[in-house]
Amino acid sequence: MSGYGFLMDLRTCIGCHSCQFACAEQRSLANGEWLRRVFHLEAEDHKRYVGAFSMGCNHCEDPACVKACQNGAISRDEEKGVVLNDSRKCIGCGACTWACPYGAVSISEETGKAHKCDSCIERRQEGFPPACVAACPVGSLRFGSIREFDEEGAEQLEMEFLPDVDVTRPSTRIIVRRAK
Amino acid sequence: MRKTEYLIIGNGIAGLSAAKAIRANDKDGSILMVTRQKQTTYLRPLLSKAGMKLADPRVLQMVDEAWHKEKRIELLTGTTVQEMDVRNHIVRCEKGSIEYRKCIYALGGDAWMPPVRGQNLPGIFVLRNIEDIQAIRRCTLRAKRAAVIGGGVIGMEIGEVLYRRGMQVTVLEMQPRILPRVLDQETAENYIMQLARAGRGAQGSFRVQTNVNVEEILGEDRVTGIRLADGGQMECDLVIFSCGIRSCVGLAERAGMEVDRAVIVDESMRTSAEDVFACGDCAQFQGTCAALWEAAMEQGRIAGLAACGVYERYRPKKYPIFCNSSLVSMFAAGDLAVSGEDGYRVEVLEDREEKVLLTPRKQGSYMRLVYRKDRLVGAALIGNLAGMQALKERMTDAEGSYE
Repeated sequence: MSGYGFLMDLRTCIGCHSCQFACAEQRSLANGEWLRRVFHLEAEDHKRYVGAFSMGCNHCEDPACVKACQNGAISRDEEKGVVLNDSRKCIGCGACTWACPYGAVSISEETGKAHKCDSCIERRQEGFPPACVAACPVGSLRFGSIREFDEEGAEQLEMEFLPDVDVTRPSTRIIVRRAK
Repeated sequence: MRKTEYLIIGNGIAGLSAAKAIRANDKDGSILMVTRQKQTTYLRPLLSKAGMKLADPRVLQMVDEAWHKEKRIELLTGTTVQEMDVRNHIVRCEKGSIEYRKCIYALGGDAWMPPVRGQNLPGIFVLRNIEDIQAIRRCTLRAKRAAVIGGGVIGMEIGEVLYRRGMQVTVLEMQPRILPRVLDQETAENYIMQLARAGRGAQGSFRVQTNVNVEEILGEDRVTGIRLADGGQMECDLVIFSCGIRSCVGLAERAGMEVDRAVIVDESMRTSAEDVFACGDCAQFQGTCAALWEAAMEQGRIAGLAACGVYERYRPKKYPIFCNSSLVSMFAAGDLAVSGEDGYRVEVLEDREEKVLLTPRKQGSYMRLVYRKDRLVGAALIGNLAGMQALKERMTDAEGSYE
């Protein structure tokens, strides 16, 4: 599989939320709206992992949002390896927001239509990394070829508080630090 | 006289879908769209959801003039077709006559306003067009109390939007429950109860009243209240009728086409008139006018293909109904045993927990599953709608429709 996706290195993430705010700024989101969030995992809550954790759309290979959309507005661009929402077709029904097991799609306060991470497709086409990746001060968040990430020893997005990866086959990869 | 290969009357989603399908199959044939609308095709379902906050309606546009130019689909806006001569393939509008080879009749529907005394007072609206929502928006600058007549999806959505703007909103429904064709009594009551719990803001309020008939709308020079059939009165300074639509069939009737509640079409969207195809909210297939966005999109596509001589079969689907709202969301699909017949088994689950990570969601949910012969035939969710896609898939047969 030669898709693209995010790589989240939990060993080095300092939980600074730079990615979250860079994303909001890049997309001009309304106050309180996020397309990426940073979570702080406590050892008591999550036995296997500790540290901070950043997540936006996982650009799944079998995306639930695409199946839920009755208007063909959301689709997976196989070539670019991302799941994109065509706002000219979106009627704002919100089916996708409930279908995504990661809650990565939401309805925009501004337009009333669904919005989600588009992996900063414009920036990528101009040769820049996504805004969240560019903002990460410690290089914990990366975007690139999943195959290369896998060769580096990255793991699937398997965490006890997330749905099973077989549900939507997320493209996101992680490198984890085990809790002691 | 102007001549065109394909004439599309109406530029709603059905007309646009037809135009796209024609252009995909016929690269060169001239396409002319005639519409009384002033805008290019826009996302009508968004009007009741986001229309109120859209100062710039261009956000709603599906296509723009550049798209029309690129696809060589000519658009005549602000033009009403007055007469159709289906025998000679000619239509007449105020800008002259147009001769067509194939015609797509996609005039859609108009919001219906039931005959009620006082319905012409300022402050009374329907919700169908961009112009309607802009007028409602202006009215909300002064209005404090709104009455929404009709507890369907549009009524519930616009009611919640008005509540969000700090208004005191009352939805009035004639039937014993809201969304009477879809929801069963128990689910509808649970929905209203959750709405009542959530809809108590600092400024506004949101209530639903069922079993009420509107007798008269009161007011001298603008709306001041409503008198109900049981003698009760309520004050309000904004009234929105959301009582469904009536298909635009006048033109077809005068042209001698076979018309019932809407223009009657076969499975390839052919009407009784030669070379005329109807689709969308003005088309009736197997006795039903779906009047739904998704259905109009599909019918438009099939009508467009048929106009190019490619006959595909239209398969009516049963679409789920749902309101996604920041107040209380609702999803209903399939057969919820509304008729009250025997042979159903009903399972109700309340306060399900569902972990959702990125977007925090309210709890307090209700799930109703309806089985017939041990097969899931209907489902409703209120509050937390996570899992609705799985339910839809469980109910769907191989042809993509519920039984």
